[in-house]
Amino acid sequence: MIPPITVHLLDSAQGHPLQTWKFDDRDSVTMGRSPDNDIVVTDPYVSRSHAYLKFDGDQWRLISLSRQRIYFEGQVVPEVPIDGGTVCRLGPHGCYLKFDQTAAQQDDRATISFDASTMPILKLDRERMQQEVSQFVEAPYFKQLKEAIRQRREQKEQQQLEETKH
Amino acid sequence: MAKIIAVHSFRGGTGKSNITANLASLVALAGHRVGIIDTDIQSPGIHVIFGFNQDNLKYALNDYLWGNCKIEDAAYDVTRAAIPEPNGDRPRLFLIPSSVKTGEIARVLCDGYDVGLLNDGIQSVSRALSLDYLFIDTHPGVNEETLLSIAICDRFMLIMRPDNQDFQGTAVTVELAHRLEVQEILLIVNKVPQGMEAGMLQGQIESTYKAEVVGMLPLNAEMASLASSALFSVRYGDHPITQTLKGIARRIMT
Repeated sequence: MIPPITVHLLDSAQGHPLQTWKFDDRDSVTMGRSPDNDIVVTDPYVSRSHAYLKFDGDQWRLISLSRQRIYFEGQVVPEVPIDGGTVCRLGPHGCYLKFDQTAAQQDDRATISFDASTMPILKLDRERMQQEVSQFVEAPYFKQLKEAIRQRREQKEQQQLEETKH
Repeated sequence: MAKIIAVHSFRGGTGKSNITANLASLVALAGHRVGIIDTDIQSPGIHVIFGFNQDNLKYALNDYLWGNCKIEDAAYDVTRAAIPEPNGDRPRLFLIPSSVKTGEIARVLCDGYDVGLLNDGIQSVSRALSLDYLFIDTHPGVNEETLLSIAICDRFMLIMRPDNQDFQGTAVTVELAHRLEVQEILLIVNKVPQGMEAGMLQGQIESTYKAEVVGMLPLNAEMASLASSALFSVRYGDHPITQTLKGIARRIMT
């Protein structure tokens, strides 16, 4: 009996699932940019035929087909065993996918259920950040520094220009 | 011209000095002349990793800032901490420590110092020691000295832990670095607990900060126990953490 596999396409910034696929009674699933894949992702950084899922008799494995490889926990890997909630990235700049071997029982639950594990890990209060940034940016020292950098850059460019003239 | 790498963190305890010492050693081991300057005058620490204490430091950065010596007089050759028997003029590793004396630290806190002088010192020590790379171990938080380090560096390296306080505070520094038009901002996430989804964490940090995460280091007992007594990458040459650090060192040298 092959366990069903569920694949979520994640919004990389927030970790919310944008789209979900579920496969029953299959022992392999292909993914990539090309429309003949089982999972089609319209991401320019994903290869036409990027990777496939294969059930090895014991568990599902994600195997790379692309030179862009798979990124798992910050490492480039040729293949990843799927446990509950494995998150991988297709290529160094591609999309994030989350894989679940133990899928939801009802077909339509995956897309509407609230899954806390895909919530963003860290939270940023942007308003507070902007307030703190402006405190620094408006201080006289910051303005002086910016001006000094600008002058140094101009000097450097001038020097380079003169060097190329000679 | 030495490439300047400023290493910073929003809060203390991120492993900044430890990572700085290891990265500087690994860059030196690749065949370079490397300096480390401890500008964390208020809470110096990196000297401990290289076996210095109050009794065996003649001059420190403070002496240069008070006009008591030339900055190169406060530079110590610490190559042997990374390489048992160095020969030739490369690789070389130098440390310019901050004073450990409480009176000196108090004087900085009371009187302050001329940040411009620090800039001059960084430039002249790079020339005097013919450095290829200079690492600045900065004081946590944002002050004039941090802003100067951001402004003059070629690469700005930020070390953070994966918690909300660091994420919020680091965001401010990253934004300031963007506004100072730093050429390159590199992020290191340290002390990542086991079980945390590193890939997703990396994605969230990179997309929020618009900067590259060059390494994620796990919360590690060996590193913590060795803490600041020796160089981890020397003691544990084959450890996965050392491999990650080597990758970051290569990234610094590109």
